[in-house]
Amino acid sequence: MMRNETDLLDFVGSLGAVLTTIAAVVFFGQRASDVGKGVLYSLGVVIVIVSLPGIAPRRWLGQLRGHPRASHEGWRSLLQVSLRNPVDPQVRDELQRAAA
Amino acid sequence: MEDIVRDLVRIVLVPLLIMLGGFLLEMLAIRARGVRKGTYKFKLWLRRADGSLHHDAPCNIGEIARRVRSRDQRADRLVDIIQLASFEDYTGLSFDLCISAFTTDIVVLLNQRKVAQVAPWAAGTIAFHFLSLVWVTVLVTANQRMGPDQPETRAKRRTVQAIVLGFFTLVSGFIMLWGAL
Repeated sequence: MMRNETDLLDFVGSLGAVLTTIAAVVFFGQRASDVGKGVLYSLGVVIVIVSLPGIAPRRWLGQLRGHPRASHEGWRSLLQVSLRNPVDPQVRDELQRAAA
Repeated sequence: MEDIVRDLVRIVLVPLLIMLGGFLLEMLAIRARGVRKGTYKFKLWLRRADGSLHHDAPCNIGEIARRVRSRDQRADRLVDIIQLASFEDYTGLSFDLCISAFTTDIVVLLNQRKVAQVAPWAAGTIAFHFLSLVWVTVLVTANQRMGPDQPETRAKRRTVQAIVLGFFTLVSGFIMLWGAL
């Protein structure tokens, strides 16, 4: 349930950002100086590129999906942090046993 | 040449400095939330007996260890542990940028009122800035509702997306500001 909700919000936010950016580039492009136009167009292109994975269907972007956060990842980061931040060795052993 | 340099300073450097200043403050605030007295704070993802997920934050390492030790069958099952201070939290910066853009809009409107002429495109600019704020809110909400099984790369992308959109909003605000004043 949570995953679908996040994906829907991602889709709505990304689509809205792209449409608003295109409208803004057209709107401000007529009024800005050459430098302003250049900056707006560059940022507009960056926004569209970054937003595409949120809009395009998943099957088109199989390679861009990234790696799902496995449950042990959290443990691993916790252990790394705990090693940087020394804690009670007994606690660390307990966590390492739980993570194994 | 002089005009180009002046435009670059006005439209790019000033918003960039505002963004860097905001980023610095944001960084300090996030660090203050995620690290207390030299120890890191964590967000725990827990699964209830009915299978639904919920999170518990902030927890320090001692509390997590107590949960692991207790092995209470009635307690919610620990699914994931995430550091509280993470990159996704920087989406707050995009809010700051949109608010800065609104501030420039208000400055422009106040000055235009003084000279008794309102640019016809001022309303369009404010509408665009408001829409940007809405999309930034949607993206930030998506990041906050992300469960532990979601790819972390997507959260990072949404963060970058929201910050770039905020910067774009601020730059457009400055174009309006320097164009109108």
